[in-house]
Amino acid sequence: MSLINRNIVFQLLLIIVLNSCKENIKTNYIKEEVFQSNEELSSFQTNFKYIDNIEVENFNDYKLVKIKGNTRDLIYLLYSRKSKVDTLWTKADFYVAVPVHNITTLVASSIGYADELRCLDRIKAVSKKQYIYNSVVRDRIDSGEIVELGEMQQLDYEKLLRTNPDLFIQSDYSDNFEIDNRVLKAGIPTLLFSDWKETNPLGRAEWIKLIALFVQKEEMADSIFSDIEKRYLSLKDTAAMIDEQKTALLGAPFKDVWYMPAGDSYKVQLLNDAAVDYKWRTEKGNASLPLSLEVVIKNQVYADVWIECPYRTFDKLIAQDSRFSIFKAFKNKEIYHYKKQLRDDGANNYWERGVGRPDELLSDLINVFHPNEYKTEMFYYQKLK
Amino acid sequence: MKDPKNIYIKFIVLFIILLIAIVGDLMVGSTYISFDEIVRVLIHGQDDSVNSFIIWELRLTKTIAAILVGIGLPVSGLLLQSLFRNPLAGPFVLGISSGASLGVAIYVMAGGASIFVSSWMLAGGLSLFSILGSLMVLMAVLAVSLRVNDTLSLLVVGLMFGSITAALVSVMQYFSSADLLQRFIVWTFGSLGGFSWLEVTILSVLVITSLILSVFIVKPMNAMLINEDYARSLGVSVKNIRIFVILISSVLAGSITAFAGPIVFIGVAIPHLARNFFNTSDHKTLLLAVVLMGSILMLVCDIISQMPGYATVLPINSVTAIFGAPVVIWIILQNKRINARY
Amino acid sequence: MQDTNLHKNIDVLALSNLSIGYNTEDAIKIIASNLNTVLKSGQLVALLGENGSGKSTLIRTLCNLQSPLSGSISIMGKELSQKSAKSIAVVLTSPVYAPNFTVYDMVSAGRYPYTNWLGKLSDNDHDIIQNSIESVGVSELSNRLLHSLSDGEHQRMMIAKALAQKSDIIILDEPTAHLDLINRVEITKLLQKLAKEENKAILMATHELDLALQMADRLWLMSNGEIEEGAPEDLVISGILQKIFAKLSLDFDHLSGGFKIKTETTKSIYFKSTLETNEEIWTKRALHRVGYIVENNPNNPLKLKYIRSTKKWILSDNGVEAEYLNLDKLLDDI
Repeated sequence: MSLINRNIVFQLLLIIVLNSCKENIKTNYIKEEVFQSNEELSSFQTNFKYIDNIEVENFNDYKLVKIKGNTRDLIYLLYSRKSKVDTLWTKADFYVAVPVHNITTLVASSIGYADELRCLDRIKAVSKKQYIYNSVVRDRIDSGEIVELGEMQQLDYEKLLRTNPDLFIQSDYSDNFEIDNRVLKAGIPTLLFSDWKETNPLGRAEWIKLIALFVQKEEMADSIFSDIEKRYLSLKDTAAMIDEQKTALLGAPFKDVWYMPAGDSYKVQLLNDAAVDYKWRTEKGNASLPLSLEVVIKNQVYADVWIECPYRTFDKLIAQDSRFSIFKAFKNKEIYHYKKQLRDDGANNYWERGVGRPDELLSDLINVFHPNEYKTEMFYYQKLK
Repeated sequence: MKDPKNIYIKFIVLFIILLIAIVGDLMVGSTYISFDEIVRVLIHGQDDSVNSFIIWELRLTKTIAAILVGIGLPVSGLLLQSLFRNPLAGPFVLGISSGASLGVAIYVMAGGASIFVSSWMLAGGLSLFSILGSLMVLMAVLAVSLRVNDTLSLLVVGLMFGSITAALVSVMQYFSSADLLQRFIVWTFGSLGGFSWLEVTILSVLVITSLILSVFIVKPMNAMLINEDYARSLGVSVKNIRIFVILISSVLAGSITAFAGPIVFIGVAIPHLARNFFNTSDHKTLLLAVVLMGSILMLVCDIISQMPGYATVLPINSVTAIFGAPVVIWIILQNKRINARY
Repeated sequence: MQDTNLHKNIDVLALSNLSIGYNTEDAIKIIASNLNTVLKSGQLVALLGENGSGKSTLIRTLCNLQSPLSGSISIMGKELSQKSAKSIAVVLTSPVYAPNFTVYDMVSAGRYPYTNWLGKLSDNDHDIIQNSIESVGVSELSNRLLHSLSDGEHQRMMIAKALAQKSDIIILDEPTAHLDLINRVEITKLLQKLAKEENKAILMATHELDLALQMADRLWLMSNGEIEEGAPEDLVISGILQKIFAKLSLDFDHLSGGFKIKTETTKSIYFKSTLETNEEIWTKRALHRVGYIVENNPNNPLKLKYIRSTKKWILSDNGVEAEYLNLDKLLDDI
């Protein structure tokens, strides 16, 4: 018995020792094809106006991008492709040679940003075509230039490793999100894209600057964002001057529970900036309120406009639940969905481009709620048929 | 008297099939790697190539995980079927898998993970919660087993604990948001793919230790098969054996569920296949038999689940269920002929 | 067949101030107490008692399946414990599982206390198993599976297993229940043989009073929390047996060694029987069964006669005569 025990212990030690021998600074564990670039590290200092948890520090040979999270911070060290990783540099979670040229992304909004930054061609792998609106990317998927890796939960890791991206963009959709150990082991720099957590619409759009850092287009991003900011604030002023405040109802029930955004959430901020009244705007926090149909009816049956309805026709809406007819918004046919830009297989540009263009979203909202004072073509919102 | 030569031949056949299954499993993956390449990589060890990384970090870990699951769950099932003298007993009959899913549910859906402060603690957090969950149920079951003299009551208590935890999990699912819910459900599908070498090591230690300990109770388990009174009269300490079996089978079931998710049916089905193939109830033979047959079946299920030729991957639980459910039905039909006898 | 180093008449199992019963959370239930007795080698002892007298409890306690409340049980001086497997073998009524066991496998289990940690059977073990199987007469059934055996075969197999344990003591709980008469007798004869030829101390709990009276060396009678013991005939002569089994509806028949049911006899009939032939004895039994007492008074208005030559019964009721070919019709008309 003791002989067997000793054997097991020896095997264990052997495995542990062998594994730990690889623990030095990893760039890419898998040897990448050589991509030459003579680009210097850009010296532009990126600053974030609306995002508090990202910081960029510029040093001589490298940049540090620090993303602070609720449970942990992630530090990305960006260095020019020309130089080699210096062991004297500070410790970081990921070491990324910039500009990246081979991006794998599972996040819809990153495609919108890449489009604005004119670097769609660097995207080489995505989750699935049906989640992508952008026609160029869709075509490239069809032609095989861009690889599909499958659902987030069922990612084809072998394909991912063969794609060998120098930047892997994922969404950390919950606080306890763990980066897959195979990705870490292979040394693939993973960017956890938490733009969805931003409650400020401008803050959300400012994430374009983060993408820009990795593709070395910071100036462009800065300028694009400034324009968006200007337009947004101008629209906000326009709305503020309108007297009438209509009330809003959002969404629809999901399995007996009607999740309503709370006062500090992203959607409600947009409503506030569009000078729209909303019953639950004084509720603290940004988690959704799980309300029953009864509570919603009681409190919001007289809401003027129902937006972000998941159905595109009145027939389908009423078929879901005949009680919806009680809403004033239903009787007046003032119901809007946000799937104006929709592909047949379900990809909605609202999530790809919309969240990065709060100016367009604000414009749509003002259109919907103040049609008398402001009338243009809507981008994402459309009345139910 | 059973023919010993017959048994040896059967074991050799099984062993050969196992080797073939191992090679087959290594060859199957979503990208193609030739047999020669696999051999080369295995011999030369890890180097910089993609193939090497894929084989060492993705495929080999999965193959070993399949074998560990194929050993652990059937051994657990075998011991419990003999302890309870019930052909439908299995590794999850004491509520182990429900305890594990409760732990995972708390972790994923109820914010259990937020107690982890730094990222290095997060790795393996889910497995930790899963093990804690099954340990909790195990403690409860053990406490009851010390006070209850009759094994049938223990079975019922285990099932009841299972129901309670399942109900709690249901409630959590009901109140959870869509993506967290999905994350949890994906765990319930079972997966051999996400094993790191650290996890493989930990699980190996647990499974192999439990297996070795099981060898030591082969003789008393044979006596327990007759009934507990006779076992006692032959000198077996029934109380100790009961605790021993509960511990071993729970450690096996709990740790495997923690790392691979709840994998159904093979714990119940494989011991029966082994009994039938070797035509014996002797644990001396059956222990090795379930080890080999369980590994083979898990590897085969893994190969099938990867749908060679297709892009999709079936959840491992679906495949084991498709194999296991007919076996369970067959057991019930068989049992109509073999009654528990006076 | 097998040498035994056990001599006759040795105190093998001793009960000393034994108190048996159940210990639950709230209360202690004492079934019997102050039991002091000895089981000797070379004897077949029958344990008798009414239902509820504590036979099962005593058996289970002696088999070490439950603990005594107080007092001690010792085997050749050593305290009864888990290690007594080589000294006591048991045959019980609890249901047996063991799928896929053949008769041989089951009997082999008897060698459990003697084999190594893996349970390997040596050639010696195989000899013992083979001998045990032969001595109970199930050799042709060696390779049969358990569930295909008849009740009698099953019992023999379990006895063979107990034999294979090579213990000095064998304790059996109702070994003849569920068996037909022939098997009941055969099994009891087998046990008697084992006691006599191998000097084993055999204790069997049973309901079969008549078998016990005819074949046991000693009886242990359990009643009212106590044990009365002795040779069967002594217990009858002294009246103890009758006292224990006395019930309002039973009469102990000294001649047959069995119990007769008391019937209310309210009517009387005159039946002349002098020869005590089979027909006369059984006619009297039939009359008794339906409540008639037979008297020797020829003036009884109800008279019955049996004619041997014609095999007919003639019933005369106040002079009116009727003939019957069988007792069935006769009894209907009485």
